[in-house]
Amino acid sequence: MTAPRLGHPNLGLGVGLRSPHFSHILQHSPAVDWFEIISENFLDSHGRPRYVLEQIAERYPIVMHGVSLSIGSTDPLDFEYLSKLKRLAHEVRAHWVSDHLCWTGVAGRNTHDLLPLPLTEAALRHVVERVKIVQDHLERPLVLENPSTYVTFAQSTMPEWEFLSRLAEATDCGLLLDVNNVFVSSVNHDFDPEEYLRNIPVERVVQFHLAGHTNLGTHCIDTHDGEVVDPVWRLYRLAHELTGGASTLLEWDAKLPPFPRLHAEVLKAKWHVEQACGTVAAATADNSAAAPLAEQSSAAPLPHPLTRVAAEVV
Amino acid sequence: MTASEKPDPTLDQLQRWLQAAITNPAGVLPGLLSDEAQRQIPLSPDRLEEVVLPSRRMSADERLAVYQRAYFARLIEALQEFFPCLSASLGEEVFTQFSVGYLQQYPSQSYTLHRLADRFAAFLDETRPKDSSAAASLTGFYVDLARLELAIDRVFDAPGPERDPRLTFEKLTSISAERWPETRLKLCRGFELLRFDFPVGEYYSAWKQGESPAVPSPRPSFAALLRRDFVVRRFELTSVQHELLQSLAAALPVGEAIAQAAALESDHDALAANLQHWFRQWAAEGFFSGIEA
Repeated sequence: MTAPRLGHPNLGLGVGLRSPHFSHILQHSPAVDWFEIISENFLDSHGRPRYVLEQIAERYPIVMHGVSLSIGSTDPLDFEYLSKLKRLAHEVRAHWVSDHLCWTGVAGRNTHDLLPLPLTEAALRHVVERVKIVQDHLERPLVLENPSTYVTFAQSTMPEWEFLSRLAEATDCGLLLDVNNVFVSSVNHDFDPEEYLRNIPVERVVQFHLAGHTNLGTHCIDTHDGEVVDPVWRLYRLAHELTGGASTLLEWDAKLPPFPRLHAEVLKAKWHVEQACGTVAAATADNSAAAPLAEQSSAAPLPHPLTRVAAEVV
Repeated sequence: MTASEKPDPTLDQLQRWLQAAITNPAGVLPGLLSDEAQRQIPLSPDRLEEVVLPSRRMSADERLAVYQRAYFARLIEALQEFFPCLSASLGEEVFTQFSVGYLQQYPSQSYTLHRLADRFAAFLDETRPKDSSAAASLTGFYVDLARLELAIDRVFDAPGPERDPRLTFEKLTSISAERWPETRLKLCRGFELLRFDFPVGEYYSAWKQGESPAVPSPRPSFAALLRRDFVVRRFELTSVQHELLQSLAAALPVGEAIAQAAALESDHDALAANLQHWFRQWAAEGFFSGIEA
């Protein structure tokens, strides 16, 4: 029998570490339970990002979240990258290492996007094989996140929850259940998000993600640029009830607010957890329940915004 | 696959096809008709739904366009972060045009976004008209500005001097006059010397102060970059200072380095008078980490 959360601790409520908050965190040591880092921002850093991370890792639990593993790509795995991941995980004593069920590029290219896989038997075999190789190299279970997606393929033969469940079963990997992504994809692909959650192997859910999204009327975009909306909180409550709870992290990348507001947003999860038992209302895949319709803007909202640490110079 | 057959691409074909469709700056439909996309899945756009399904509210090509728009918007935004001064100088529209061309010519091949802009200055240089026109000169200025901003980014996250010892001026002056000419100084980690055809350092400083400086006329300029307390510091140099520091960085003894620099300075008395001041200032700023054994 698989231990809950693959045996990982429930770290509590954390936030994504972003460079505009470095000084605040070092100066005020806010009462955040843990931080998640974007692995690629620190793998090769020899400057301020790495220096700050070392100090934060001494005070807080750290989890590594990557965006470039490209586990679904047909390109060869990048073992130099994997070795760097392994080294950083050791150095910051990362509780676990996660990435996404996606591919980021092919033919040697990196689009720096989380691109969707066809949900087929062939793709599942391909990803299973690669997850095993990655886990052998990292010498630890990988934790994979369900991405927000915007297309579905005609050749897909199974829902995403089945793909993830079978992948986890075949590889013993963990799951990072991004509740906002479930909601965004449910709107974009016309499926029932509650059915999705009820079919995920709950004992393998190591972590939850929460985030804000943008509702464009015809579809939702995973913009990480605002507060978590009520339908996503309802899904979170259901996910908590089903799993018994797991480490929860708020992602906020665009229109980044001051740290206290970010922290306050994730702390709302406490209230929702308290409400969880028996009060879960169904979240629907109807986008009328999504975030308020975005105002028209010349700048199109960006899915999964990139975060990069900009240079400081005088 | 024949014209009437339903496509059943392999995972590799599907990925190459999708990538070709969403990385075409002209849009998804031109992307689908590109040679690469057609090589992977020979499909006319009117049969797109045989590969990508529509949703209740969006057609298949509209759904693909989410990725196409995001690809360029995301990476252009990242390039703007690398080159805040250059993008302000070029203006958003022109910077975007260069960026799109760059992403086509040199798409990212690294797991890290930090390498995204590595060839941007070289790309700008490749676009420079091969004549002595004003446009060629202007492009040369933008190449220099891109080189400066790339160097700033590089020094910011490179191995730096923060945890290394520093060679103070007091330690420098403790070296005997007899040993001084043979002494080899170590420049601090991450130290970079730059030479430009335009005074981009002055331009960059004016921009940092909120000004909108005019594009300057060509004039050689020199700079040193180093990091202190994890912040990049810029130092404008004269040609003589640049030569001297370059020789020291090449591990020449101080005496030989000064001789190299002196070749560029007709007023040797002035040079002699300046040397102590320069070494004092450079030591105070942390240019040197020690003496070569």
